[in-house]
Amino acid sequence: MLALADCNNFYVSCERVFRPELENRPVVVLSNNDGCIIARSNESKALGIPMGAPVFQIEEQLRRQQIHIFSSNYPLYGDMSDRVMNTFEASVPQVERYSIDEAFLELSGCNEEERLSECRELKARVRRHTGIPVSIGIAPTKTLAKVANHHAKRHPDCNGVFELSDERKRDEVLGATGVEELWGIGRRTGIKLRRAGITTALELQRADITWVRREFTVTGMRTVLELRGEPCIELETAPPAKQTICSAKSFGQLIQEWDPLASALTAYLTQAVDKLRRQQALTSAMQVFAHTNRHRRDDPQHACSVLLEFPPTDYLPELARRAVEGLRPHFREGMRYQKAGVLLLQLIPRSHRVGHLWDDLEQLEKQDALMSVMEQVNRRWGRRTLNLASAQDTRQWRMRQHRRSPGYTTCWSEIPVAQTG
Amino acid sequence: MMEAGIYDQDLLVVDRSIEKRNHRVVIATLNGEFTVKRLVQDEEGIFLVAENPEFDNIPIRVDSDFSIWGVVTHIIREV
Repeated sequence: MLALADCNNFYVSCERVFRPELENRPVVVLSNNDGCIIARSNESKALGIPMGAPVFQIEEQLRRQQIHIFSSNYPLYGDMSDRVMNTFEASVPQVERYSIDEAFLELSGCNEEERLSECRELKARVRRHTGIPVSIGIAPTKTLAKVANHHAKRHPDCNGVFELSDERKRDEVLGATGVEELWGIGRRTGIKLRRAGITTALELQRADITWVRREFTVTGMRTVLELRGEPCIELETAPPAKQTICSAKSFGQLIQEWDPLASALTAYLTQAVDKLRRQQALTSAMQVFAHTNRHRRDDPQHACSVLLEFPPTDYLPELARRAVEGLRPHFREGMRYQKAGVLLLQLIPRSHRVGHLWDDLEQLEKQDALMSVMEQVNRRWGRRTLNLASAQDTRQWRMRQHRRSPGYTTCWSEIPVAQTG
Repeated sequence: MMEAGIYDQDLLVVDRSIEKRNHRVVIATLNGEFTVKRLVQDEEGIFLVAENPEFDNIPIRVDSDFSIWGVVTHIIREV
């Protein structure tokens, strides 16, 4: 049997662990640059704060209803996520870390009663160890586990744990689930299904399998089989290596000059190369891009993008030079750029590097040694301790995070303080 | 918390996972603040004890905005 464990309003819950007085009070968390709402506490949902709402549109409501606002604090969320996942991994035989706040678990209990008590115990343990509340949905397949989890969250009488294995109960819940709420059904597939007269998950489960396969390919067929309780999507305990790596962000303020744009680009590339090296891969192509803010109707608009190809490498200084030189001719003076980024492509495992007759092996070794030193220093003394000089001046583009909470668990100077008196 | 050997500026190691038993030194949250106290439960009720003659014991009532956040296991002090 599988289970999907999902942290409740995860970003909000992370903030509350260190601000216990915010329990039962309305809280929201904002996206990068404090742009829109990306997480809401149940109290904020009840006050009608919409997900994804741009802050400037609802500023008045936020103030009037005394909703507590946080900028996003990803170092905190990442660290808390690790703690939650570690607790899962210490408790059940197999865990797939599915996202920052969700994991699929393999359960050992042999009957419903055993599994329910196993999951209740796990839920209590995660809460005790990390302070984070989770909900758990149990079912024979991943697709059903998602549905079960959703049910556990929406029905308070479940106390956050619900099993969907009994067929009668399963069909009852599926009958009350809209087809577009299902895992793996995108917006367009949902519309297409509704047009074909299929509106609930139960109707999809009972649909003719050959028709589904013809209309919605093998992916759709898998969903139907999973809804019938036949597992088709296995637990992935080791994450598959990424095929592309993207690092792109909006600037804290619009940029009109080349130097700060090149500096931001180098900083974003640094993050992408960090990921590349952590998965022990090389890249031999990248797309570099920048664009203005499309929503500012009165501003002249410009978007530039360039595709670069080169011998496989993971050497940051070389990639930074290529990215900056590659985009430079496309940059237009006087435009107000809002965002830039890089996409690393054609990734190959490091071990597959094909040597070239004219390769300067000594040079390659030196480059690798330099990158290793840089990583070690940054791991020990904190990110960006050792950095490319061109990424150093962050003044004109660093993120706006006016309401960011401290790095309670990741930064020595920001750990929580307790009164002794 | 001088009598427990905890002084200003000490770094405390806090374990949330272990049992919050009577007489342990704990991090509690009281009215939205973290505070380090000894947890004492006797026939008169539950108290947070500051272990410092300058501070009174704090009785915990049913309506107190209070929770035990974690248990202090170690002290690290700069010399």
